[in-house]
Amino acid sequence: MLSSDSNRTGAAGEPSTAPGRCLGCGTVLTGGGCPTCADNGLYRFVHREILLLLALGAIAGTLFLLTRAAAAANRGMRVREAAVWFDLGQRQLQARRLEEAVTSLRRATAIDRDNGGYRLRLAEALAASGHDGAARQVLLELRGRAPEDPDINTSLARLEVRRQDLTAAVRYYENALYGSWPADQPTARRHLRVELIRYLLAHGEQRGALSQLLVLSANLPEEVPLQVETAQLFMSAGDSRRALEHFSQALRADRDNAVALAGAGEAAFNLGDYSRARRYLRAVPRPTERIRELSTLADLVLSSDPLMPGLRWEERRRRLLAGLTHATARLESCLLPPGRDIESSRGVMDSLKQEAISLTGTATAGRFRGAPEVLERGVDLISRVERAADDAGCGARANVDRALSLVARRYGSDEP
Amino acid sequence: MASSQQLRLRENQLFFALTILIGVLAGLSAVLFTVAIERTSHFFFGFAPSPARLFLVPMLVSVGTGVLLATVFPQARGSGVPQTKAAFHLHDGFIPARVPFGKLLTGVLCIGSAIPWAVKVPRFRSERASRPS
Repeated sequence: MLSSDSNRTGAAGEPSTAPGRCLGCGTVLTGGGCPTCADNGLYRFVHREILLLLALGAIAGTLFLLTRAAAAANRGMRVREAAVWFDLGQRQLQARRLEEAVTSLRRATAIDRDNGGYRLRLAEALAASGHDGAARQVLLELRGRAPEDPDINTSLARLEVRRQDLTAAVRYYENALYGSWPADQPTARRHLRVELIRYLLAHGEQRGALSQLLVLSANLPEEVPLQVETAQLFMSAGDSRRALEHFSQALRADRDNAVALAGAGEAAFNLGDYSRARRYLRAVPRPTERIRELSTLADLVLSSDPLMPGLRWEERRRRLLAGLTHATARLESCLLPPGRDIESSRGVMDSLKQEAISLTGTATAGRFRGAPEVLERGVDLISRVERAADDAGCGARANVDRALSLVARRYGSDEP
Repeated sequence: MASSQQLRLRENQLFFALTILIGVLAGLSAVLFTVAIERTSHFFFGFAPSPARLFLVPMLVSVGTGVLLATVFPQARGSGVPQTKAAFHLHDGFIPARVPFGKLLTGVLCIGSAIPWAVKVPRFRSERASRPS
């Protein structure tokens, strides 16, 4: 505060030479102003700004808490709304109202974008309604975030199956199988492996199917249906030995299981164990045509094999001669009547016929006592005769012909 | 008492801190505004509004908002930019507390009542784009 004019004048109106003083604080004025009051003003201003800052800070803190609470509540509301649309979409999907399900699930994913489960279900709905391209797009986006998720990879695999892309389908199946599965889902994983195996078998990929089967069988529970299913898959993949192992395991738990008995019989038949095959096949209740045929063949093989252990030499000779007689009779039915167009193989068949006659003489000779080399020659000759008759198209093969060929194969004589 | 130089330095720091704080407040207000719009929309329309509700609510809310702006919050009309300039130059920057409150309320009501229409059009386009040709 500046001093008043009266302070500036001295007695008798003459100007005073004393320095002016501030009326407010009494400080000597400098530079036309009171430095103390100026500082005080600034101080009050700064002091006021500090208080304002503190007040605004308190308001900001309060507003922050309020906003956070409001945002959390809003988030909860959106999650609930998304859940409502998701439940509706699930129900529509189960009721096969696919387009409506897609619409509902789209809304759920639009509202709750972070929920991978909603997007996965949307992909399933899109695939079910035939929008494979859109489904694939959604799944690939999901897979980008979770490349080892088994559900995502499984859905992608099934889409690739529909697109008939074998390589991609197998890749996604394997990604699913070797992904991160929850500990409480061994059954689901096993079912998926079986699905892959069936897919590979359907497309002729026996080796791939076998490697998956080996993994499947390594951790297989003892349950009969699982053992039977695995055994059947091994049969389809061409591994009769492992198929027989699993059928046998099933039969140990359930002796009267018809499917296991039939399967075990067929597997043993394929492996050349005809006595075991016959035992299983005879035990099948209500056998099918195929089972009866296999059983008949097994009986014929076991009754025609001259080299079976435990036979007396007279029985061996009888079987050998019966086989030779039947084979040559079939050969003669080819050679007669004349005019038949088998000139190219007539020479071979004539030679075989002569050899059969010679061997028959040897076998009927008094000194024959079931010599193994004669029997083996006989089995080999029967095999060659049957093969020549087949090559010449000498009529359909009877069960006896098939049995004789199987006997020869048993001892490696049926190889070209 | 601090020297004048120290006070002036502190004054600059205070303005700096004040600026940051006002920015934070503005950001929080924007978030709160957005949340309020969504809540209002949910209040008006729920999960699956009927066509009648979709048609009537925006219309009625617009009328009500107009009445509010005409009678209760006249100073909240307009974009706010020229009004802020006028307050700064003519009234020492003083803005009545009723104005921001009125702007918030009427903005939330108007936008919240029109959200379903704003969402439907892009959704139709995205749904059509995702369908196979």
